[in-house]
Amino acid sequence: MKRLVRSVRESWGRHTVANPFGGRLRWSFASLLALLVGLHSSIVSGELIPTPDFSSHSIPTTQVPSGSGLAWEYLDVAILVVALSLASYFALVTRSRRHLFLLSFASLVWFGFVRQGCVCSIGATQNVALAIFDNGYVIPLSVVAFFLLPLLFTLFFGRTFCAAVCPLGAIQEFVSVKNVQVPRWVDHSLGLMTWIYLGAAVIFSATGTAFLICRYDPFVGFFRLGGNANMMIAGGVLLLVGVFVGRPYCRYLCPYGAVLSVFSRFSRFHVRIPPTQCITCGLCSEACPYGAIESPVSRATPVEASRGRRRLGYLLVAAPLIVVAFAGLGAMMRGPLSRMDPEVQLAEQLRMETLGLTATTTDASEAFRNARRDERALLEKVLVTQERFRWLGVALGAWIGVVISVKLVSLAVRRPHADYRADTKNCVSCGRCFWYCPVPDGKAPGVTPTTGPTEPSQLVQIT
Amino acid sequence: MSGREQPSFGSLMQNDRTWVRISSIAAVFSVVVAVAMLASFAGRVVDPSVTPEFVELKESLREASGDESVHAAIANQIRSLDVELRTEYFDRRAFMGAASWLLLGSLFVTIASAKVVANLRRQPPQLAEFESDVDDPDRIMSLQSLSAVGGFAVGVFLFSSWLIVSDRSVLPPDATHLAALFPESNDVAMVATRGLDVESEELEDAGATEPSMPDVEPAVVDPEVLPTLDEKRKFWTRFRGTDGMGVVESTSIPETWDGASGEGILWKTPVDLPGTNSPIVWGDRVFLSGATEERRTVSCFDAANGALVWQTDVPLPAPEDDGGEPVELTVNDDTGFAAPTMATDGVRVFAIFAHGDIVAMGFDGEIVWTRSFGTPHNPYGHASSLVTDEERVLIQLDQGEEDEPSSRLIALDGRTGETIWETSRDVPASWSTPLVIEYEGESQVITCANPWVITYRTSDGEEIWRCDALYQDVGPSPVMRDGVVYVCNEVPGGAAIRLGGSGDVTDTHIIWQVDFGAPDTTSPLLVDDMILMLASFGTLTSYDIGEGGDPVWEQDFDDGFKSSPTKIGDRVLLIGESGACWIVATTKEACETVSEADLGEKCVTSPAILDGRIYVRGEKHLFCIGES
Repeated sequence: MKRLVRSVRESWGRHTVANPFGGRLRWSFASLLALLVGLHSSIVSGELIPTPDFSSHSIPTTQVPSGSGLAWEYLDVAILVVALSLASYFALVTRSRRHLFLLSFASLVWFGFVRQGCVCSIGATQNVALAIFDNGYVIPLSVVAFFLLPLLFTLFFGRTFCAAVCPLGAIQEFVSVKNVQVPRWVDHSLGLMTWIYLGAAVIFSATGTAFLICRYDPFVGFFRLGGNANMMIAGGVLLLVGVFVGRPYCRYLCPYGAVLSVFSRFSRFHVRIPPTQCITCGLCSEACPYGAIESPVSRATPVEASRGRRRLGYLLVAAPLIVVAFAGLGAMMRGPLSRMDPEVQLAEQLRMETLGLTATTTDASEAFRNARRDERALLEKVLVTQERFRWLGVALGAWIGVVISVKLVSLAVRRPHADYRADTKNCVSCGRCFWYCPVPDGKAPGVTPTTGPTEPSQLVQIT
Repeated sequence: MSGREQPSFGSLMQNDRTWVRISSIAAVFSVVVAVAMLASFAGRVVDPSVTPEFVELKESLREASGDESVHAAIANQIRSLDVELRTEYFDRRAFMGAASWLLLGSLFVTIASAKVVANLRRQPPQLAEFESDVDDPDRIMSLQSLSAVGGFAVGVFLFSSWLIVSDRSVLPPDATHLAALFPESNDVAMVATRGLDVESEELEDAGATEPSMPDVEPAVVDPEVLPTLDEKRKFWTRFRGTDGMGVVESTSIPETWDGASGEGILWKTPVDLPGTNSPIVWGDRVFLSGATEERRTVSCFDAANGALVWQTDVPLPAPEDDGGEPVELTVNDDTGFAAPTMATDGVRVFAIFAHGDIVAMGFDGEIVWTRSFGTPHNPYGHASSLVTDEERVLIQLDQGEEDEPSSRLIALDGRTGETIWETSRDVPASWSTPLVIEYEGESQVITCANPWVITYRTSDGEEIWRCDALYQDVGPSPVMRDGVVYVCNEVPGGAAIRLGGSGDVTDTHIIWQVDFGAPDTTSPLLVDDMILMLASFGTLTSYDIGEGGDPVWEQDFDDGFKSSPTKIGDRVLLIGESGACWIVATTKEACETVSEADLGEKCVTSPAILDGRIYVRGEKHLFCIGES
């Protein structure tokens, strides 16, 4: 065993260069990236100019463009199926990081830049939620497919969708140059935001209030070469962070990733770090930038077991209190939550204009006044909406309480195991760890533990 | 002979320096493209129609409306310019589109090359650095992670709480407030008496049963017809009552009350924004203003139960004045941003704030007009209350220093906010409220400041007479009876000035002057043939109204006072800063305390009295004291 490890290290040493990737270059790159993506955002965003004051030119009537057509939708679904199949094949069968990376790049080009980030599985969550709660909403089949297919594949093969199909994951994977390991406690705590975001997104979409995920998609502006400046700046910051912290959006914000993590936990064939038996050399533990490799955990001693049981008991007692506390807090969130509703926003704008609290009008307020609509009727409707949000706030608060409680309880449960293994919830099957593992897969006859890992591809075996 | 061996393409690709160069070149190219885009972005024309050349041409076109040939020529010029500007605009868009793709491509090369560099320079894992969980079995379930999740939960909780606390909505919170915003008819009185579904948290009803409203005349409904002075006297339309004297002759009030226990308190309602102004009452509505540096409101309460009928935000002034200078407003904490008491003409209510902004609102809370007179140069903050006279709203806007006064007395049309007249005053900042009187068939307004007491005609703002009688910071307001005006200030004291003069009457019309016991804040009170002056330090001093001279008596009260004394029937009500209240009976012989009461919180405002009820604003609540 020691000889194996030593040979691996020697093999590694041959690839070591005296001048490692310098900090100066790294920071210059990061700064450049931040500057340019931010610039790109503000500059290319669409503008409208007023029509000429007097001209013989007839002003064209505003027209809603027709959809891209069913053929494109079917094509998207077909490509999604192919991409998911390939991603699963590359992750589980060929165990090729290179192919996964190339596939993710292709997905970025197609689903991102060509199809401009829509439809996407993350956003489809909202359509499904709306379709469940609103009988009048007809959800396109392609959207259902985009929502269900990744879940189905995940249930069998783990999060291969995240690995190489999702354009949002791909763009972060592409800028991921020099990852640092994030402390596990950061992942445990910030990872909860995905669940909170999921709860909020479902509540707002189910009530037809807003599609939060689409509205606050940080990367769609890049795909479309223009968009809301604030969101583009947020996306730029995320990409900048992504240079050092692997996939920050996926880990700390993606609501669909939260759903996938549950399915992945029960996946039938999840990616393994060693293709056969783990030799617990520990070489892989630093390879994963997502903190998705679990180190071995020994069985608890009687003292540890006793302490653990006590801790678990306290947390089980606290859990309902946490849920109630957040539900109570949610009940008071009526105002802030309802402000997402467009009618509430319009009513506030109208009142502010009436009271002279704002000097500017909005298109919506001008249209409202020009159409001579009844402000009282609007306000009465807003009152109903706000009352509904009182209960939705309770639901969201309770959901947050449940999420936090479940997390606390799960942290208090010890799960002994002997190997280094992928954390099936958080592992996105990116394949970075394959190359670090010295255990041969038994299929390549020329490869023995003493020869160490093969030469990585320059483009794909990075950090 | 062998030449220098050329490196193969493959070895170049394995050389990290090659990729560093590629990455660097691509990065420089990206920056160049970005700078070009920035330059184009900075020079863009968002709205071609507002360019100076365009505006100038439009103006010329407007002026040339009579001459068809000139008109057509300018129109053609405008068309040409418009086409030019639009062409430039779309050229820029096209350039930006192309540059975006270039930027995207160069960024791609930059990042891809950087990734290759990272790969070639990658360090192998160091086993010595590895940490195994085997020796640290508590790691996964570590306290660190639990604490982090706990901290995250607290963070979410605090953030949500902050969202709740900082939520400022201008929308009506419930159907009641919505109904108040949109009366179903113009009859304000009808809206006022409609059953209000008062939320329990808004109403801290001290009594066991809902008190009934006293019989009051319905409020005036026609905005063009103002109530007469007699009609106004039935209510409390300004600071110290419609006559400004702080006197209610025929009514009785409870002898004691206790704000803490609720005894004798009909209701008390929280007042959210601070203010040192006093309530005014019209019909079954009580009005207050409140303000902080960030927010200003006028609130209307139901006199029957204290429910907030409406609250209207008054827009804050622009953070910069016309000259682009930031508006700086500092006020004394004792004065605050809403010190002047409101006034009503029976159709609208008027409020003025420390910024020098006045607002008029209908009884439904809708803003009718606003005027801004600029931030007064006042060391403590503007405090002079508004008064109305027929259609006029009078503002004593005293400001500036003795050697550089910039004071004005302004009469606005209460219906429109337009200035009816404005008179400059050669006095520095003061804090006194003017008094409108009728004298020999003429409406006059008496003002107090340092050093002049000046009387003006309310019809045109012409000065009638002035008297050198008061010095330093003048806060107390004047009172009048039988052709004599009584003024006072801590320095030099009190004075009685006979009306009827003209010009400077200092040497001819002063009847008497006294120099002891005069207040710096509270206003004097006329009771029978005495004038009572309540000093801030708690001494009530009585003088003979006809002679002045020495005090008839003095009585100490164990409190500080900023609330002016009020005569209610044959009693005098004094309210101390701590909230302690005294009901006293004053005769020529003595001042006897009849009863004592307690508001339960600090109070610096003067009460409004109507139909046996006392409406008074404490530090945090509006109280209604009376018998149910």
